[in-house]
Amino acid sequence: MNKKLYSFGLMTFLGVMQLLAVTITPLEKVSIATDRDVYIAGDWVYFSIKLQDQQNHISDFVYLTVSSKNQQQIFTGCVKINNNTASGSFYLADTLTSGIYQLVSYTNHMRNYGQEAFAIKNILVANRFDSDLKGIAAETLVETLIVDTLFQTGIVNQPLQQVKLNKEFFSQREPVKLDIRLPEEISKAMVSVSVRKVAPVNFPETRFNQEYTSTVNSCYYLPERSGFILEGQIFDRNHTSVAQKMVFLSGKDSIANLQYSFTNNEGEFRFFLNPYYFGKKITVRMDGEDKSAIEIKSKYFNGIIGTLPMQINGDIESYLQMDQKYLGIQRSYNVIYHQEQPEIITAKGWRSEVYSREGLMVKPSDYLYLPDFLEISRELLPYYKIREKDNDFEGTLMDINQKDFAVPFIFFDGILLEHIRQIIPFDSKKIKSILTIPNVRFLGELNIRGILDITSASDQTENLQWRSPVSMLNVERPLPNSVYMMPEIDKIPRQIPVYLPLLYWNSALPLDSGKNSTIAFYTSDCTGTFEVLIKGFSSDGKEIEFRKLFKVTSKKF
Amino acid sequence: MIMCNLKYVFLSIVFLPVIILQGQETTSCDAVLDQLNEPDLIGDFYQPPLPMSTVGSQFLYENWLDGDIFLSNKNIVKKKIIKYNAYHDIVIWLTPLNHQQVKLDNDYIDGFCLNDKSGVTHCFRKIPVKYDMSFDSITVFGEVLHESRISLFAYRKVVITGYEVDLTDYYRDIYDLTTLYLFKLENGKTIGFRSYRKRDIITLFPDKKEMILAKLREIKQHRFRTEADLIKITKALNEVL
Repeated sequence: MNKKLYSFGLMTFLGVMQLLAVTITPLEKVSIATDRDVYIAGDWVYFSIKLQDQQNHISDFVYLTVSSKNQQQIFTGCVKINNNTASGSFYLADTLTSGIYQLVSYTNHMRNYGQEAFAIKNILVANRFDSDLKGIAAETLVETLIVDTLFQTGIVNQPLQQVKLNKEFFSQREPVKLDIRLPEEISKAMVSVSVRKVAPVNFPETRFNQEYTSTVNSCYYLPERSGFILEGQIFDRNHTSVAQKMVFLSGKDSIANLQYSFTNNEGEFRFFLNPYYFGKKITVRMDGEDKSAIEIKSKYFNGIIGTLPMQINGDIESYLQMDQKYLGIQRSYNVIYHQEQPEIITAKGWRSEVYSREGLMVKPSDYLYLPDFLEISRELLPYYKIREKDNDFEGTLMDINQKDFAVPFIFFDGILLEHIRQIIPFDSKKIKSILTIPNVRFLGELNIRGILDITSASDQTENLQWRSPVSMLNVERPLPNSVYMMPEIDKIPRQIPVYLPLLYWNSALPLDSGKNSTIAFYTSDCTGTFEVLIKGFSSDGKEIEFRKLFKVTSKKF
Repeated sequence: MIMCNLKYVFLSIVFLPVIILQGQETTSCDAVLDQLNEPDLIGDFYQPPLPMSTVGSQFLYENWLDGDIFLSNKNIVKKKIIKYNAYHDIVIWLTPLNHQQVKLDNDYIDGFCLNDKSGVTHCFRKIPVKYDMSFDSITVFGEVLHESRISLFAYRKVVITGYEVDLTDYYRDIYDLTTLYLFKLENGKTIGFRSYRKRDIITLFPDKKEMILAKLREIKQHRFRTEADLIKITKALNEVL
């Protein structure tokens, strides 16, 4: 009996351990902070995405999507991570409907763990011209809380004594000095600092869970380091995946460039896009001219995670009406406190060239006008022959070493063509130069039986006709870093109003233990309760949140 | 009964770490990433010379060796099977799947390293050389013997020293290896020399003659016979100059 009991106990114990065993702690986590929680359509939203990568350098890029309650994507973007922080901004279009919107952020690698691994942040947006704002409260109210106007929180389980203001009550347009000091037990931290008007709403946030249950291969979605991963899939007419199919990728450029890959058993393929490809137009096509379909997979999450709870703790309607007025006034003075700082990409950007040596160059403009490429090849390309065959064309290039003819790879403005017929209509005026490499070339294992590299006089890639499916897309560029430009209020004449619900925003402020960090800014003509909100991670991965309130009144102190 | 319980305890001890380990994030994507991020090597088809048509070899090392290639786009392509043709100053790559020989584009390569069978790594970098009677310098692969402010390179070139006629009146070129040593100075300028003689080396730096001689006396370097001696001298020059 004892033996059976022991056996049962052991099996139960092992079962529990097995359950625990599939719990995977992801190597990286992110959290999002925004400059405010409540916006008026027409505002800029500044965000700071903090990456906690547990000392491992895993990803260099983080993705952000913003969706409305009815799952309509209003913004997508990719941001470069620097010092574990990715920051930027996006504009809320004037036409947005009032309601709660959700920011979702993740790295490509985090997609392995599903939505549970994604960081989310909910914000409230009111349309600038929406006069009936009662609906916002009625529609989105989940929970109404009565919260004291002055409240304080600090580092988790730590009293807040580390954020000091020179005063607690300020008048309009008065300088404010803020001192931030880390507690002794935290050596370093990277935080975002926002000084904004306290909105009578609160969003119970889901930052990230500490652990996720996952059984998936954690390298299905690869980490993106110094470049993007382009993923796609090939299907035949019956929507069955096509395995072991060669796929080509080339970018529009003045010189031939090519990458190739093969589909796996699921018909999937991947390419690495280094910074050379950022902002470039690329084409992805299969080898041959069959009718299979190419599907490029989007990395952007489409939807809403969880519900969109909002706690209201005051008169939201009057608050929004006041914000609408503030934005209207600032707009009428045409003042935008926003500046973008395009980042100089220092990462390696290299072109996947097919040749790096000189070939035989011909410029049709140096000769008499020739009406099409058939004539151009006949008159100017000694090694290339085009024949008309079965109502089509066949072009072959002589290999000067092997002394035989083969079908070469033809590039047009850097893009690999599927057939010579695509450029037959182009005359001398449309073609700037033709470079011929009349011998066998190798690109890795790929045997290229000669190259024709053609550049057009003006962009003709849009006029190319394709018989087999080809995917043309623009590789996105990481979002530029942007800063909130606080105006020099003391220099603005009194008669010009400056109503700013946001007084200060810093997406990445490094803090060192024992050292004071001082921030200086001015109050504006806005009165009411303001808050300093500091969010981030310590160097050992602890989450940090400081909050400090102060008041701005029209009285002089 | 005690033995039976011990058996279960033993099983628990054996299985527990296995199960716990199963739950750790052990998969590293680095290998997959490296493979995906690695640029493709580019070059022309290479037709090797027929062994019977030559006396001696065009290659610095006759065997295929493992090596890393430093590309001009600053990427490094690792663990490739390559050979260095010291007659044409080109790197030949043996493709792993199709076993094709590819003459890599010289413009595409900044240097390469060969790991010989004895475990010694020989690294080659592009250096400018004024060779023979030419007025302009050419860029060639020089073997890095010592790298510092003043670096020492060896340009190992296979040359045709003559020909041999066999019984069927077939001409066969005779290949032989020559070496030109080069100091590469901080300003990128190179100074070439062929002999090991102390006097010849010192005359390359006439202003510092006394200091160099003093240093050589100090380190007791009187012998000038091997490349190892040249490396010692280069180290000494770096201390003096």
